Formats: sequence, C-alpha cells, structure tokens
Amino acid sequence: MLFSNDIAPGDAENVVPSLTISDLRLSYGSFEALKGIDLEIARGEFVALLGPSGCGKTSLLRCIAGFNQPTGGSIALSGTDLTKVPTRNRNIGFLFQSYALFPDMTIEKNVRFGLDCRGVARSEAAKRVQDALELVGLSNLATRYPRQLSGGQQQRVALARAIVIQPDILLLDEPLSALDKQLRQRMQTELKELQRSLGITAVFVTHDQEEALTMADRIVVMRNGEIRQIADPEALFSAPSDAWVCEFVNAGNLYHGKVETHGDDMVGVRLGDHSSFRARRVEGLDPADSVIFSPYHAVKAHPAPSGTGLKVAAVRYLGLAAELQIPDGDNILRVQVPVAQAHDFPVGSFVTLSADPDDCGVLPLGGIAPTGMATP
Amino acid sequence: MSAATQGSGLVRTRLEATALMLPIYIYYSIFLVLPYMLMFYLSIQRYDPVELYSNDIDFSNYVDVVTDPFYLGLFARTIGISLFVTVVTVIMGYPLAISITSARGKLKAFMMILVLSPLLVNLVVRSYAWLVLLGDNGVINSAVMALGLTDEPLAINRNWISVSLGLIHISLPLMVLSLVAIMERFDKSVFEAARSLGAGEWRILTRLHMPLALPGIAAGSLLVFCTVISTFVTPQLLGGHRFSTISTVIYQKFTFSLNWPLGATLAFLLLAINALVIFAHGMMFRERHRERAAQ
Repeated sequence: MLFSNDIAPGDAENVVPSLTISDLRLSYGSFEALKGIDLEIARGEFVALLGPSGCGKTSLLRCIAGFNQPTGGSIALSGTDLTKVPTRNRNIGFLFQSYALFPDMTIEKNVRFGLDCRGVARSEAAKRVQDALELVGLSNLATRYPRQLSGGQQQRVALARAIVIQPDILLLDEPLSALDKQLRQRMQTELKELQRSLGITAVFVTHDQEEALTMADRIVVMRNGEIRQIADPEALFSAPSDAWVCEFVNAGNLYHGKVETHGDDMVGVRLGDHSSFRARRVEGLDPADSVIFSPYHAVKAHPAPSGTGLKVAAVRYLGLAAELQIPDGDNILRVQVPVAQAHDFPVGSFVTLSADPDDCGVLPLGGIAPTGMATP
Repeated sequence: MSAATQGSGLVRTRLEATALMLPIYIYYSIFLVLPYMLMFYLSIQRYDPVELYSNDIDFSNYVDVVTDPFYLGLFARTIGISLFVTVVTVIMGYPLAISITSARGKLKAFMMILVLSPLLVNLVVRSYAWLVLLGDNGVINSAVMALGLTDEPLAINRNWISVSLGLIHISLPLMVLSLVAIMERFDKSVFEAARSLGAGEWRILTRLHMPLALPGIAAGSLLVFCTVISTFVTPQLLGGHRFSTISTVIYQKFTFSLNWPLGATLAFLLLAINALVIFAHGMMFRERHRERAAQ
C-alpha cells in the first residue's frame, strides 16, 4: 500500500482542512484572472474546478502548484503557508493535459524521477516505482519510451509518476481532455477509484460538467475569476445558485417572463397563453430581477386532446430519456420523459405540462442576458 | 477522371516536374558540378613551374599533403580552432537561447535583432573592426598601455585569439538560431512537471533541458563547424601570415605560388572533412529522428 489515510473522505464530522485558500488574487497587468478566491478543501476530498475557458480555474490550480505567483492572498497546506514556497518543495502531484512525460526517459525512469529528486535509496525507489506502475496497470511497459505508448497509457504513467512521491495534494489540469470519449469515461472511473482508495486530496480542473459530476465530491463553479457556487453534484443540479450556473451545468429549464407575486409565499411567471410556472418565493430576492427555475425532473408532460394545450416541436433522444421541445410564447420548454414513453409524444402532438411548485425555485439572473433563456 | 479535376495541382506529370526543374538542373550543372569536376581533375595533375600543371595523372598531390608534417599541422590547427569555436558558441549560445526563448513580445524581438545584427554587416567590415580593436595600436592595446599595465602590446592580434574572436562573432548567430529553433518547440509543462516532482533547476537543465536540446546543439554545431572550417575572410584578415588555416593556404597556393594542383588538392581534402562531419551527424541523428517520427 502506497498510502495510509485513516480519515474517510467526505466524513463531514471529521473534516480536516487540507488546503485553505483565502482571498487569492492574480493579475496580469490590468487583467484580473482571480478576484479574491476563498476555498477550503478537506483531506481526501475530490474537488472539481468547473467553468468556461478564461474563468480562472487553471490559474487557480497553477497558483496552488506554485507555477503562478499570486498577487495577493494566501494558500496554506495543512496550516503551512505555501505562498512563498517554491514548487519543488510543495510536495504536489500535477497532471497535465499534454501528459508532460520526459521523452528521453523510459517509463521506469519517468516514474522514478521524483524519487531521485528526493534521494530515495535505489532499492526502495525500484520497489515504489514497481508498486505505482502496478497500481495503474502498466508494470509490463516499464522499459518502453513515452512515444511508444498510447495517450491513455501515457496519462497513466503521468499518474504513477505523480503519486509515487506520495504528494500531499494531487492537481489535475484537464488531464483527460486529449483522450477520446470512451477512454475518457473509463479513465474517469479509474482515476476516481484510485483517488478514493489512496485517500489523496485532489483538485481537478475541467470545462466538462459531466466530467465534474462523475468524479467530484464537490464542484466549484467559476466565472470571470470568481467562484459562483460551491456545491456537491446533487445540490448543484437541484439548487443552482443563479441562472448562469443553471445554464452552464444545464440543470433544468429557466422560465423568463414577468415574474409576479402570488400571495405571501409564491411567485409565478406566465409564459405564453398556455403555461405558467410557480415557485416558492425566496426571501430578499427581487422578483423583477429573477427567473423561475425548474429542474428537469420537476416537470411532467401529459398527452392532451388534439388542438388543446401546447404542441411538441421536436423530440431529441438522450439515451434513457427523450427531450421534448415545446415552444410557448418566446420560450422553448424542454421536458424530459422516459424513452419508453416517447411514443406518446410524437412531433406535432399536443401536451399539457405540470410542475410541482415545491420542486421549482427562483433564481437571481446572475448576469446572464434575460432573452432566449430557455431556448436550447 | 477529367483533366480539369486532375489539374488542381500545379505539377501533373513526371515530365512536367522535370521541365520545371530544368533551369535549376542546368544552373547547378554548369556552375557547381562542372567546376567541382574541373577542380578535381586539377588536383590529380602535377604542378609544373612553366605550364602551371602537366598531364601526369596520379594521386601524388594527396599523398604529398597527408605525409607532409606542415600540412598535417595545418589541418590539425584548422580543425582544432573550428572545434574550439564550436564549443565556445555552444557554451555562450545556450544561455542566450534560453533567455530569448523565455522572453516575450518586444523584448524577444529586440534580443533576436541583437543576435542577428552581426549577420547584417559585411564580413570584411566586421573583420577590420576587430583589427581596430585588437591591433598593436588598437583600442585595447592603447588603453592597456596608457594605463601602464604593460609596456608591449598584448599578443591578441594575428594569432589564434584574434581569429577565434572573429570566428565566434560570425558563428554565434548560427548557433543561437539553431538552439532557439528547437527550444521554441519544447513543451513547457515538461519542466513544470519536473519542478512539481521536486527537481531543482540544475537537475532540470542537465537531465531534461539539455538532452531535449541535443538535436539543436548538434545541428548548430554542424553549421558552425562547417562554416568556420572553410571560412576565409576572417582568418585571412585577423590571422595574417602568422596564423594560417586551410582556406588561407588554398588562397596562397592559387594566387601567389600558382601551384593550382596543390590548391585544388587542399580544397578537396577540406571538402572531404566537411562531408565526413555531415555524414557522421546524419548517422548519429538519423536513428533518433526515425524513432520520433514513429511516435
């Protein structure tokens, strides 16, 4: 066993903060890449930094690694301030999109590199290299050169090279995005299992929300150098913090219209002539600057007699579910039904929709343009 | 297939390809291959004081040269100074290439212009500039003597020092360009990976950077060595009579002693050395390129 870690990951009662980032700032000239990031990551936790390109997620990761020097704020690992510590003394593992293997060294030498830097004795190093390569399933390729390996194998070598030094934290910069989809999905599972079994703290940068959902214990959604939401995958989908996050992770329909107050505790929005959506009112939120949000699971479709209700404009098959696209007024509602029921809703058929107000929510606009919001 | 679709490329047939290449074939045949052949024919004739050369065809000139200690010394000196200049340009050019590669924007452009600027000035002018600096009454000696550090001029002119300085000056840009060309292609994340694994800068330089730059070092060395070993103006002007190289001796044989066969022999031996070096470089790096291509 390479690692011993007696703290179960995700054990909320027993969280030991591993990485503490406070008010971290990074500027390039007048451009602010990071505008005051606060983040705590527990030991053994797998955190994904998710956001569109240019949101600062990679800058944040590179600051943790020490490749970028922040202009303000601090990064502490287990209570030790890292801000002035050079990369080589941080004891981190870093996985790159380009794998970044050493091309003139064999796989075995690549993996041993970090141990040589630490002056680990030859016999012990050989054993640890062997263990690490076994862990990623490549012990038979130790004498090959990186260029003789496939992309997936190369990234496994990079992983072995990173974990063999027993890093305090593993940093991953879109490590799977150069792989094709099937291999990527398999590697996601493998990587996640390995991380869990080693109990290693990991921060993973990705622009792919599916990847973040598959792998992360917690997802940090970033935009324009700021954190928009920190949540576990389930919470991110059932309660996105604003309309932008909801759109970015594709958590459900956003209904834009004139949001009106109904009584003391309900708000609603009327779409076209045929549908209106209601949700519980949220204290302190201006209805005029809000949208109604309904997660995909909250909306039900029912077949309706011809000529009444709304008309199905298109059906898109997603796998286990089919998505009905139903225009109403300026909005296009997207409703998911199990694929087995899709034949009840052919294109051109009429439907009525219902949604439980308790499942729906009200979200602040969060800086997205309030037009065409529910269009796919 | 119709002619119209076939004609999308410029060259359609082998005949057309040959036709297009004809001017360059003719040019090289008349102005390169033919003179070489004539030179070689010259080198296997005998020197004759009256007729310049006589039609006794044998390889005696070659035998004479390789058995004469004077010429062996000349070859050793020329190869020696070329190797010396090559090594110095690697040592000086490597850090320069690193800083050019890591510079950005305007600074990078400025550094490149600075490195290339020696190539923009005529070789003769540059060599005379060195004479102004290094001569017995030159800037350096005047200054040193005015300061009373020495009574006699320093021995920095018309010897290997002045010739080396001049040769380094003309060949450093070739080395730096070769090194920058390969360093620009480096994946920077490789060095970041090494840093994350705990490597210090020295380890990164010797275990990663230099092995990766090796093809560039070799290409630059080849370029510098082959240029320096056959260059004429710099050793002629800065070496004078006291420091001669193969090319200055060839010049003497042709213009002063009028021993054309011997001059041609020396020229062909110089060509042979260059060919040998290029061949050796090809052998050493062909394998690597093949492996990389197979990636």
